[in-house]
Amino acid sequence: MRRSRLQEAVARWTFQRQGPDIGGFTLHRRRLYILPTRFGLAYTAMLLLLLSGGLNYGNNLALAFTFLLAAAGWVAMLQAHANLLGLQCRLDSVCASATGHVDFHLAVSAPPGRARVDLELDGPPRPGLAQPPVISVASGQTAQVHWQSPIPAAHGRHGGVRRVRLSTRHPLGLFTAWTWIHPPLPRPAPATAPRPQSPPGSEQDEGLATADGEGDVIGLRAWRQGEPWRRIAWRASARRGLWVVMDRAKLAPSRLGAPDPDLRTPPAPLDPAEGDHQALDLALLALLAAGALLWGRLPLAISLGLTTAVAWRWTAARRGWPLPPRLLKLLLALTGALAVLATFHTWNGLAAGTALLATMAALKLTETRTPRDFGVLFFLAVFLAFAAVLGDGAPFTALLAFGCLWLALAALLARARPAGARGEMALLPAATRALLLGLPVAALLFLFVPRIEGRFWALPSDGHAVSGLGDTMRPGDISELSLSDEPAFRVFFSSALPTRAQRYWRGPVLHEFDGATWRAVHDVAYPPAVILPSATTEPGSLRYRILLEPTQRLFLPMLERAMDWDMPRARRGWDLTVYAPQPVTTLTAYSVRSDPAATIAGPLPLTLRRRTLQWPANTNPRTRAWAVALRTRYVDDQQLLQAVLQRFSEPPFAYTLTPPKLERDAVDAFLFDTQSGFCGHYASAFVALARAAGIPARVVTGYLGGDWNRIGGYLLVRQSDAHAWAEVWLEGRGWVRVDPTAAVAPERVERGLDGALGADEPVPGRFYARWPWLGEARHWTDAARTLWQRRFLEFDRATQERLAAQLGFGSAGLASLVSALLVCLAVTSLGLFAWTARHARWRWPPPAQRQWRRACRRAARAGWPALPQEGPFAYAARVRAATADLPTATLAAELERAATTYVRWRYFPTESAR
Amino acid sequence: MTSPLTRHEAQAAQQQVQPLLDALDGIVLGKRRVLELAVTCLLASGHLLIEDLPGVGKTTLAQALARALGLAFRRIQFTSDLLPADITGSAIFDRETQAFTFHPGPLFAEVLLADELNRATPRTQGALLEAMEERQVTVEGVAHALPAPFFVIATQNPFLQAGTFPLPESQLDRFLMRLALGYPAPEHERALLLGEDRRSLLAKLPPQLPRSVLNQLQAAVPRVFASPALLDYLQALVGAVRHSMQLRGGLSPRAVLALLRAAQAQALLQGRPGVVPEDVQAVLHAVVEHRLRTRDEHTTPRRVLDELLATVPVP
Repeated sequence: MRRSRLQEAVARWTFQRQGPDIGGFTLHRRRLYILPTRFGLAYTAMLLLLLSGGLNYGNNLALAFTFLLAAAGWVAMLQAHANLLGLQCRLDSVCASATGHVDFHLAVSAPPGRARVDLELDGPPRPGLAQPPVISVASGQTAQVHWQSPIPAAHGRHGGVRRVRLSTRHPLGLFTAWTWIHPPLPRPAPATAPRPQSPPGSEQDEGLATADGEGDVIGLRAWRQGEPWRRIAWRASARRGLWVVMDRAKLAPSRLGAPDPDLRTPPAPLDPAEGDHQALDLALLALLAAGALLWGRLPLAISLGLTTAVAWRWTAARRGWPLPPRLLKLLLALTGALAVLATFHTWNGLAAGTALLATMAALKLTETRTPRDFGVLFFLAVFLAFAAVLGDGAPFTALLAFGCLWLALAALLARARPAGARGEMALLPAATRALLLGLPVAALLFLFVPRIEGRFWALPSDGHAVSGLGDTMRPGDISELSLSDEPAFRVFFSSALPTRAQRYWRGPVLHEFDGATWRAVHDVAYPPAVILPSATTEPGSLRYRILLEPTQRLFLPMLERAMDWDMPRARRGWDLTVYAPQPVTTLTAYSVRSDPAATIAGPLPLTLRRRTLQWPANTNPRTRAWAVALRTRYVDDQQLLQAVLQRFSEPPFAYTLTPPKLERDAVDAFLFDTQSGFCGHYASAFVALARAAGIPARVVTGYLGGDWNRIGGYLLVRQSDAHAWAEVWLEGRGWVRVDPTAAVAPERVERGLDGALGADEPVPGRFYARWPWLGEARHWTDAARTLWQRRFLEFDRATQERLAAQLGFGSAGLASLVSALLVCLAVTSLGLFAWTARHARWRWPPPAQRQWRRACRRAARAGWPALPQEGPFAYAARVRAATADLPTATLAAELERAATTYVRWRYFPTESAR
Repeated sequence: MTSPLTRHEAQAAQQQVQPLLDALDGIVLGKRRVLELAVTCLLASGHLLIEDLPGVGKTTLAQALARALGLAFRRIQFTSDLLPADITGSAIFDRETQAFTFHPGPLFAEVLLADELNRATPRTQGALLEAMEERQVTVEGVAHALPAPFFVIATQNPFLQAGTFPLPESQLDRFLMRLALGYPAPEHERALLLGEDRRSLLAKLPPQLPRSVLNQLQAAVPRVFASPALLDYLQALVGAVRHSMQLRGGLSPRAVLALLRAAQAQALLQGRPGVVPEDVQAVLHAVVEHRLRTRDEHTTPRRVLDELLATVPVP
């Protein structure tokens, strides 16, 4: 009820605004209206969700994805508007004299050079239309529609058509742009007018004869039990052989405005088997692309299930298979949800959420039938692609994600076509155009939408296993890690590159020893160590920027003795390693200054001393005995350790990537039985020995070395560079790094793994060393990838503010960013608008018309507004008469002059042309 | 298609018609507007129906027009016993030539005053109206063309007077315009009382417009330009009339054509090379009113038309 009242108010307002449409008219800006559709609102909500996700993760690729979608929506809005702009329409209404029904004739023509557009016609009754209410207007052509009013005009409602709506949702269905056309009809008279006689023989005359004021007859329907007999249409019943009654529309006698709901075109039911294969196919392709993006990151069963569902749906649409029954779908959905729960033990988190989403996408395919379902498929595909982008910033992922976006947009294009439009449209080129047109807007959004520091919510870390250093270490762990060729981080030095032997990248520090495994201690906080910078700060300092791949852990690898860094809220722990406030789940960049010559001040806190001397009871007795023996021989700690290292450097101690397996009392077994191992073995044994000898010691894990990439000018540190070493407390010197590996295999430190290990060891990357050009190519690809990461993924708030300042928007931080965004966006939108509306052929009104309007405005301001029905001369004469006694005679003179010119332009164009 | 009228031609036409109007104004006092419309009707080659009370000057107007134009004037007084042959003429057997020769009736005039048309029987009315439309008379299967300017001024007494046969709508349609003279204003009535006898004035009235010029002007009327914008306006008006719920029936295409032609003639009279909405408005009542009937007894077509005019904006 309220809705109809609102509609009525809007209708009245538009009528007052536009007036009746006499003859031909051009659709200009002032008579076009545009609003988002329900789908458009959902799209906006999705964009907000993606935006908050992208900002929260600080993930530029995800943001770019979001902005591209937003820009496509923005362009869709401009295009929807431009679809109608400049079309020429003509609505004629002729009273068919015999019956009193009104014949409407609508002609829409497009100026040459425009793309074809499908317009939906709303308002005329569907049965009255000779063709479906979709008007296709091609460039330079005219489309025509005829219909007849269902009710004779004399019934007080102008044949039931008070106004007609021409609308378009092209291209994406996010916005409806429309115009209202008011047939040139007078206002309805009081509803006392008698009804005219209908021609005999028409079925409606019976209804009119028994008119009981309920409304107008709109058709016949079967008689239902309990209805009064007088309603029965006797003649029609006799003709059909069954009781039929007149169906009456419940009409208010003189309602201005909205077409009657009964007369509106019902939403066309859509049969996917008929015309919308294209929309379905494209949505399926988009889903497939999203599935491909997530391949390897979702459980295999889900990936396979999604692919199968897509294939099944495709075939089902082709073969006309029925969709599964409701119960089966419910069962499948339950099973899927439970399977995800069983796999991940949660539905929360990125990985579990993505898996759930993928499962639901597969299930949604079993019930896609209507355009609305296609919309849901679009959202699912976009969300899946977004999840993939959030997790991985590789260029290839980005490419595939944008491909998915492209397909999804094409699916939207297909979906947004009016149901009656059967003509083929080049969907993929149209999607390309939408994306390309949106590109400038997307770029601006990307450049100037302020990134936020930190996060507003933290997603639980997903169960996705990432290779890398962890909080525990068994002696064999590092050697397994060394087989991985994955990049760990990249370092750009702004100071001189330190030698390989100096490049100890500090990671987790392990204190807790149980005889075989080393563990980090997180639950106890010890007093922090105080680092004293060396006297010679400048030359000795190392400055570098690290681009860290996601580790899912807190530690930030840095060279030892890191003094300061630019990551907010990152802090140095009591174990001297620097920790981020949240686990590193995305590519993270930070700048560091390290001072290798800095020293640790003060005594070792007692609690920490106890911790670093911890030794599990009843384990490794032989080691313990050896340590006691060494202790009795050397009083000085340094000499004792030196002796151990000396021992390590002699045979039979050997360095190998493939050491024998160790069981209980791992240190004993290593030191006295196998005597061959990797860095983890040596570090473990060394620290154990030191602790047994009463020297505080701990295992430090991290990376050593790194490959210099000549092309990109950076150091690439891979997982295979993982290393473990020891740190001992020497009185007066503080914590001192001791690398027992350096004793057993100095080449490991000097030249890296490849140099330290024999030819039969499975060293990753050795393959590349054999063919230098292959290694070169690898450097090139990695440099390209890094450049992408630095330029694109690492684009942060500081860079943004610098850019805004360079462009002259001031350096006021957020304010200048926002002003830059708004100004550039406005300029670009204007340009886009001009581009999309370039075929509208809007012209500046000719001088005669402008002069006339100006004169009319002046006269109106002076108190003599023109009446709508007044001709120019009559108006000028009236003003002349009214102002004859007043000093403002110039007003009338100007009006007369303007009227002459205007009339000559408007009514005697042949004359002025001569 | 002939070329549209130029401004100079239009202004020249106005100059040529001006003396005619002035002369008429000297005879029928204070009715400039009606006279203009009558001349418009003449220029548009239409026929004029004057409906008014007896004695307000219908005949004087018709005679003045005929004299001022220097045309042959005839008058037929319609009565209920008048037969068609009485006005068209008949074929009479000639003893000398041994053949039927046609003796033209009073219809064969250039300006014909059909006085009190609605007193005649429908049959006689029909004969006249056919002649008006076809511009020829068919007697005994032989068609006789009427003279080239053929202008019928019919007068009609208001309805409800005794012994009238009201003209059917279809026949009213054949008159381009219907005018009413009305009583003169007091000052004009005073001038009438003081002035010379109209009859002697009429006799002295010299022809103001050569016949060739009249033909030329009538030929110029269709060349007055009607722009698309104006046609839009015209059609909107007609649509409004057709859809009005206060009126019974609408306007036929003939009426629309008549409206355009009358508006063109009006524009020519004003010295304009093209029609403006004011011209349509000026002739609308005269052209349209007699073709319309209201549903409601309490209103008149004039009032309804005024309301409709206000709802249709000028483009």
